[in-house]
This record gives sequence, structure tokens and C-alpha cells, in this order.
Amino acid sequence: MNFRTVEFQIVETSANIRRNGLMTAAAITNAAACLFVLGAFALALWNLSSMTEKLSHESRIRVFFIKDVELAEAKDLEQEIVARFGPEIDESVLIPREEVLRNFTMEHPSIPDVGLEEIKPFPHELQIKLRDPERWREVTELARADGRVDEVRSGRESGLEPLLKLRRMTRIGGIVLVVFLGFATLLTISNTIRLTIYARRREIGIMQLVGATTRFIRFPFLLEGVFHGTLGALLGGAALLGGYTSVVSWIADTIPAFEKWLVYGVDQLAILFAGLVVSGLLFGLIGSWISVSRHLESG
Amino acid sequence: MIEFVDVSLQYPNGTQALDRVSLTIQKGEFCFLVGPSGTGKSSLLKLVYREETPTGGQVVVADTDVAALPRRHVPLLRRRIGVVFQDFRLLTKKTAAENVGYALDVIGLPRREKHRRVPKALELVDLVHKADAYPDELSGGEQQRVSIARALVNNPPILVADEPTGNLDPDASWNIIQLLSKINIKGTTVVVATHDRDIVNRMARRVVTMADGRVVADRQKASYDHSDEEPEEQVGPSDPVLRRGEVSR
Repeated sequence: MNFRTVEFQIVETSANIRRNGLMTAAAITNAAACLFVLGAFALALWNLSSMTEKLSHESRIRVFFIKDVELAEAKDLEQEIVARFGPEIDESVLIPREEVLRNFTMEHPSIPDVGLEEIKPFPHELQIKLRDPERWREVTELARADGRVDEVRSGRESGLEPLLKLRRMTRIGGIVLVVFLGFATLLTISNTIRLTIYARRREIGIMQLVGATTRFIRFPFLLEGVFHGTLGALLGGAALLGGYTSVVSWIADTIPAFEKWLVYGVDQLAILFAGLVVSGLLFGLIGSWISVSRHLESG
Repeated sequence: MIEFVDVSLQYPNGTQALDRVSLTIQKGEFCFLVGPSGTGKSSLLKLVYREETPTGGQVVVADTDVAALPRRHVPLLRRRIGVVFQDFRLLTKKTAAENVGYALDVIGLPRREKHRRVPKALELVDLVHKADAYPDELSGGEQQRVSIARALVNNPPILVADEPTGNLDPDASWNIIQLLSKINIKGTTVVVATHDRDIVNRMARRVVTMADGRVVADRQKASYDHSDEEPEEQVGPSDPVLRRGEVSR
């Protein structure tokens, strides 16, 4: 295609967009609605995934020593674990039994002091936070096998195991759902573009009659598809982010504790917005390609 | 120029539109295709510009085996054939000049060349003064002339017209046929499918009569009503001497 042809195509496309105002409005609105729904699902899944991610990272493996194990012995095990897992350990804290008791009495002030310090009711406790929470099983097995250890609370007991399962499910389910919704969006956009093609089938017939190539006929529809998809994404994305930030600020005002679990960083929302715009552009391009090719093949 | 060799065409719904048709139309010839509706006239023309492909036989247009032509080369074939229809097929939102120029735009011809060719084509059909008029501001005859100008602006060696006078009154019809005759005299091969007895009779050109998807008569200087009679006047389609004589007449 030479410069003259491209220039002609751009002029024709913009004229077509203006002439078929109602169809253009319908196609853009449809793309905006589809991408709004897609974006809303993606955002909901992103939030769920981020929530499980943060929760699982906050989860700690708690190792309780046998009561008469001394602090130095407990420290030995801590060092063994740190030496074995090294950089995998995000944080390890050894809490002496005195501190455990102090925390307990502070949390339960109603319990009378009956000389608990003498009785020493609590053992030393080691708390380990892993960078990759999925490796809890290995740490747990190592600690459980140690003779100084009485009990290890991790996995199911600490709620980590179901949380990790949920995290995995969110990731896989999220990808499947977004792909599925993306496909549905593509089909919807493609069908709307088919309507615009159908509305101009006479023009296409004339183009074919006077010897226009398939590429020549297809090009303005691709341009139009990109225009519909991108503008729809810009509108749908703006509406989604506008609505979402209002919801986030409402949550921050009403349930402040919940705010930290939400995805609302400017960079994160910018990624989402850019993703929607790129999706809109691609959906418009691929959707019009499919529709116009099907029309030209059947014609 | 156009050769049908034992051509059959069956549509997907089972309709047999053409049944072993053999016909040769020489370069520079003017030929009428006549016959009742549904006898295969339009189907025969559609094979020329590859709107349809034959289910049997061979169609050769300007030395090109049309049926064997790869799909991507069809536009190149169509640039060598002007096509005119009963319903004009003009773009309603473009002026007469824009409609004619459109045929050049889609093949990417330089603008300067377009500005040279469009007025010439409009001049040929005597519509220079209506260059800026939209189709709905033109009469049926004028619209058909615009469509002829569009078909010719690319200087095709062949012009096929499918019922070009079907929507026109007798005067406008006669003008259109005269115009097609003028184009033919300039050297373009013209094939016209028509029902219009009056025109066919007045023109006294080669008349190919079709019935049930077959060519039942093929005569020179024939009339519509007697095209399937008077076999003694029959001239074979491969007799170019007489036809050339006609063209230069």
C-alpha cells in the first residue's frame, strides 16, 4: 500500500466513522461496557489474590519447645533452621518463655497473678516467617523431627494451608476467568463490528467490483475496529477506575482496617488501565479482522 | 477475448444455472445476451468477472483462465472488466465525480492521474456538468451513465452490463445503449444481458439467446423476436471478419 492509498483510507475511515454515527456510538459503548466488566473482574481477582498473598506472607510457623529446654538450646535450633533455609527465611524471632508469659498476662489482665513466673507455664517459642510461604512443610518437618520441640503450629493449624490453596485457586481461576471473559469480550466486539460491516455491505460489494484487493477493503475496518476498541477501553477504563477509587475511599473511611488489603496504588491502577486500553485496541483489531475476513470469504 | 468452453454452473442449492455452454466473444465485439428471467444470462456474466466460478468447463477472459485464477488475483481481473448493473450501484454519499474516482482510488492511482481521467470519463458519458451532483439528484439514466463512467474510467478492454436499462424509460434506455455502442466503437468489447426487445431489435447486433441455462441461438444482426429462428442467417461466433466489419462501421 502506497502513501496515497493509506491517506485515502484514513480519510475514508474518518468519514465513515462520522457518517455512521449511531453505529459508531453503539460499537464504542459496547466495547466500553465489555471492557468495564472485564476490568472489574480482573480488579476483583487482583484484590483477592493480593489479599491471600499478603495474608499468607503474614502467616508464621510457630515452634513450641519442650518446657525444660533451655533458651540456648532453642537458639541452636533456630540457627540450624536459619543455616538450612538461609535466604528463604524472611524473619525469625525467638521469644523466651518469660516474654511469652508477659505477653499473655498483658493480653489477659483479669487472670490473677498466682506466681506464674515460678510455675513457668509457657515454653520458649520460635516464630518463623518465610519469603515463600509454600515452603512451610519443609520447615515444619525439620522442626518436628527435633527432640527439643514439643509442637509445631503451621499449615492447617495456622490457617496457612487453606490460604495457600485459595491463593493458588485465585491465580489459576483468575487467569482462566479473565481469558474466558476476554474471549467473550472479543466475540461481542467482533459481532458489533460485523453489524457495521453488514451496514456497509453494499459499499464493500462496489469496492470488490471495481477491483479493490481484500487487503484494501479490510484496512479501513481494522482502523475502525482499533478506534472503537481503544476509545471504548478509554471510556470503560475511566469509568471503572473512577468507580473503584470511590469504593476504595469509602472502604477506607468506614472500615479502615480493611484498606491495607486492597489494591489501590497509582502504579497498580495505571497498569490495569494500560492493560485495558491495550486489550481494547487488540480486541478491536482482532475482532474486526475476524468479522471482515468472514464477510469477504462468504461474499 | 471471452471464451466459454463447455461451461456448467450449479449453485449450492442445486439450481443448474448453466448447462455445458460454449460461446466465444471476440475482441471489439458487441453482443446481446437475451432470454427469459432465470435462463442463466446473469450467471454467465458473473463468471466473466469471477463473481461465480464454474462447476465445470473453462472460462477464459483476456487470456486468463478465470476459474483457475487464485483468489488474490481476482481484483486484478476485475480492473480489466467494467461492470454495469440494473440498479447502478453508486455510493449515495459520494458525488458523481467521486463515484467515478472511487474506482481509481481503490487501485491506488496517483491523484494527478485521477484528476485527469475522471473528467474524461464524465465527458464520455456527457455528464461533466453534473460532476458535483449526488446520485439522488440525478435521473435514472444519468445515474446509469455515472456507473458506466465508473466502469470505464480504468480503461478496461471489456464491459459487461447486466440489464443496464431495466430501471429506465425507453428514451433513457436508448441513450444508454447508444452510449454503450459508442464505447464499443472505440474498441471496448461489450456484452449486454437484456430483456429489452425494442433495443435489441433496433440495434441489430449479435444476439445470443439463452434458455434453461443453454445457448439456444447465436446470430449476427439478429432481432430479439427472431433470434431463435432463421437459422440460415446464423454466423458462427468464430467469424471475426464480419464482426470487425461491424465494429468499424
